[in-house]
Amino acid sequence: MKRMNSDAPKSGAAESVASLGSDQPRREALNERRVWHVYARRKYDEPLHEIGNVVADDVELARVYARSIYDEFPWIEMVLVPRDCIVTVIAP
Amino acid sequence: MVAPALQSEEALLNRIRRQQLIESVEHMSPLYLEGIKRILTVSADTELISAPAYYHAAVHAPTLNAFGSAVAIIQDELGHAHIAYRLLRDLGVDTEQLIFERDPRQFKYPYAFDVPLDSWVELIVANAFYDRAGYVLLSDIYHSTTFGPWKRALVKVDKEETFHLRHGEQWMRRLNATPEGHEQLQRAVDWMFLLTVEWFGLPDDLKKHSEQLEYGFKGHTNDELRQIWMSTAVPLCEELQLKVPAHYDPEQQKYVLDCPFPAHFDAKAKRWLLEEGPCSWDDVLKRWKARGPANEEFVGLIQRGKREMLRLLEQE
Ligand SMILES: [Fe+2]
Ligand SMILES: [Fe+2]
Repeated sequence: MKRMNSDAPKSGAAESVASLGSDQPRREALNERRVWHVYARRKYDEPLHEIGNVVADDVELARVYARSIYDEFPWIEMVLVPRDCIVTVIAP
Repeated sequence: MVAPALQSEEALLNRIRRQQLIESVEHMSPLYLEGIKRILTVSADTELISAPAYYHAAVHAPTLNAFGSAVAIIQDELGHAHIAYRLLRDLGVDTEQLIFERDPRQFKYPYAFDVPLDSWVELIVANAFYDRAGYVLLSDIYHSTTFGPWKRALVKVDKEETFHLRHGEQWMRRLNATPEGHEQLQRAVDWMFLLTVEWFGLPDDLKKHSEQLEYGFKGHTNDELRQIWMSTAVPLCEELQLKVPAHYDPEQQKYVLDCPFPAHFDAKAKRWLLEEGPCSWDDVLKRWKARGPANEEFVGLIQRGKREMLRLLEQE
């Protein structure tokens, strides 16, 4: 399969920037689009694993959303990866 | 957006038989996609509406700590709603429209949330009864669903629902220690018990959506889930000497109801009209469809913020 990932065309970075442009209706400004995958781990001997995702058009809000939504464990590490940066090598 | 290429029914069922989870729209048949959207919408709406419904009662918290734990539960519920609507959005659903522009009566959450919780006592009984119902339904989905992204997301949800129902139980035990507290609990249980029994929906012999079982959307039937709920809710009430119209029948090896069911309910008075005898499930469906007293208020609370912000933006 040649695709980058399953949804690059519909939630790519280019689109998320365009949605904030002046030619879009103002109400679109409230509809955040960029998907960020949230990875975290609880223990030092455990690898990071995907625990969920958030939608935010800028990284600072993405950080806040990830922290407040995925607070089920006292994580020792949490990172965000924009979905449109993921390169799929083997698809499920 | 390009319409996703869907699979044939046969390809989908083959995948399920190979015990490979369904990971995205590309793995679904049109029928599976419709079904998973429907069941995810019910779950998302239920999580979402529990926020304003619980907030309505949380303001009666008797201590700061109690208020804090009630608000923490509300925050969890909004997280659960976020997860379910995110999944719907990845399936191509316009969730902004779904959440902010839908008619309140079109929301798919259980009728129980349309009957306002008006006190701290009612809130903690809701934690013990409603969150237990949510826990029973979501654990079942966790164990049986063939939709991978949902299954993985439910680890967090299940953990938090357990905390919610323990919160309800602990507060019930605490309030039950005085005769006045016991009396208040009994009054809440009197209307809330049957509403939760009813929550699990049509009995198996009247139920339509059979693909819910074939596709692994559910592992147990409605009646089985109702039994699972009663198997812990009834002993809790017995422990606290709260009367409920249900008991375990060792001969049938299941819980049986001791009152007319289903029955008519006076939502304003929060009273079951048991003296009128049982009604039909059609009557119940009619009541659910008309929604209850707080439907508009609670959905309005959710939708208000976006409307106000749009008005502001349009004035610029
Ligand atoms: Fe929840
Ligand atoms: Fe809950």
